[in-house]
Amino acid sequence: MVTTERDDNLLTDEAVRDPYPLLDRLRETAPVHYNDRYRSWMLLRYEHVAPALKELRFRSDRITPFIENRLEADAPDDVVTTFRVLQGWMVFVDPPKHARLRKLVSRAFTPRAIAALEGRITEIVEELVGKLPREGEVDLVREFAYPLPAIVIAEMLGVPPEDRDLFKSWSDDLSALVFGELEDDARHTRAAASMVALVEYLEQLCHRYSAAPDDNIISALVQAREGGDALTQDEVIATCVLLLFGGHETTTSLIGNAVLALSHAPEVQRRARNSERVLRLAVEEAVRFDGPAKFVPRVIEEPFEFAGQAFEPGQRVLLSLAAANRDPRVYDDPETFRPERDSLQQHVGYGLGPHYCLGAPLARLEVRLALEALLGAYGHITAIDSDVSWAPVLLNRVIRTLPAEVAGVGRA
Amino acid sequence: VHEQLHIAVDPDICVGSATCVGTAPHLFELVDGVARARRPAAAADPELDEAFAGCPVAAITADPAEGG
Repeated sequence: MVTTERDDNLLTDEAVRDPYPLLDRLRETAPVHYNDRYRSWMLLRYEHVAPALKELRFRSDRITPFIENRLEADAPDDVVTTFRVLQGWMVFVDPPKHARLRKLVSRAFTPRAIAALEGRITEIVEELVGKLPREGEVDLVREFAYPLPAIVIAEMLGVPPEDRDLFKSWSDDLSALVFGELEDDARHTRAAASMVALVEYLEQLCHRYSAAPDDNIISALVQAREGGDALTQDEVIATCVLLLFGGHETTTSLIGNAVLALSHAPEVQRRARNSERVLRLAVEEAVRFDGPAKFVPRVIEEPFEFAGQAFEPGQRVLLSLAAANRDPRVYDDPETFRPERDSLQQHVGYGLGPHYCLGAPLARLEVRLALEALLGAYGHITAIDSDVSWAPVLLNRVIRTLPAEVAGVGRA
Repeated sequence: VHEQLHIAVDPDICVGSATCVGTAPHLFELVDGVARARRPAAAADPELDEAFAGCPVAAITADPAEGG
């Protein structure tokens, strides 16, 4: 394997703020390469990333081999607990077991089921927008993009409103683990305590809704467990943690990145304010232009060839959704946020294949309602670019702060 | 009289999540990462309805067939 010195550090301040120049350079100079810094293959072109997302030999269970090979035999119990829960997450599970988990959960996330939530999500959005200042400076992540998806997914699961705040710290700790580097022991330990607390709490909710089912996801999972197509208790808990977590930070980032993109494109902002069609296209374009995932990881279990390279068992593969979504072979003028594109080429921001984002219909609805409310409330939304910040993590594009100047009235 | 429905999956919209294949395996299959209907028409049934409603990108159409 030939290795060369590359400018490929994706965690410099500059690359965390704007990873795209570096991803562009890697995609054009080394579209398929083994990266020594991240000890992983990297695939960056659309023509490779799209089929790789559907290629099941790029496996998603990167947790079981980690437990078997890497986790120390004398690891503390709470660290072991964390990884046992992660093992049950369907994002880390391969077919055929994956299909069973996904089918049980997917009923809550069909476009039809999600459409029924529009009224309630609109209420939550309006409640949050109502608390924002009419004009001046506001952190739109902290005051809006962060709490919105947290409240929505907590309500969908069946978490009582008084317990909402508990999830902020848990989700933050788990995010560092899942979106960061699995090799960092300090992150394991910090996440572990939160995972144990969260698991205990969810067990209580399962017992509660087992005795008295309500119209929420935990009740549905518990009933499924008691019916013919049974989920184990571990699977119910793991699935709840995944939904709680997966429904939260990624959506926060998508709302934040979309607002930022609109802030930099005042003409698009104006058009989206006046046209629901443009607004819907803007939501989809935001996923392409600056989606929540820079990379999705896969692992190799059996040797095979792909894109002219030999992939060996145990190797990790990073599929760059962000680089593929800005591939100039596929998109004209890819670095421009332009909702009304001629090309109907699907983006890969939600993935493709059996792990295609289960929450995509919910994300589309939440982000559309969020943008609609902000654009309706304000005539001008201008991000204070120098103060926008992202978490220094490799896999996801996690926006942490989005201070913006807001002013005017969007719609009478 | 069972109403026959034309079933189709738009290959340009399908993202290969295989949700329909999991829901209604008698009606849908995955070929090269894209779902397609196993046959062009079928009687309405609950699994078809669930597959239709469950597609995350609304790539499935199920329309009444001529003279059905």
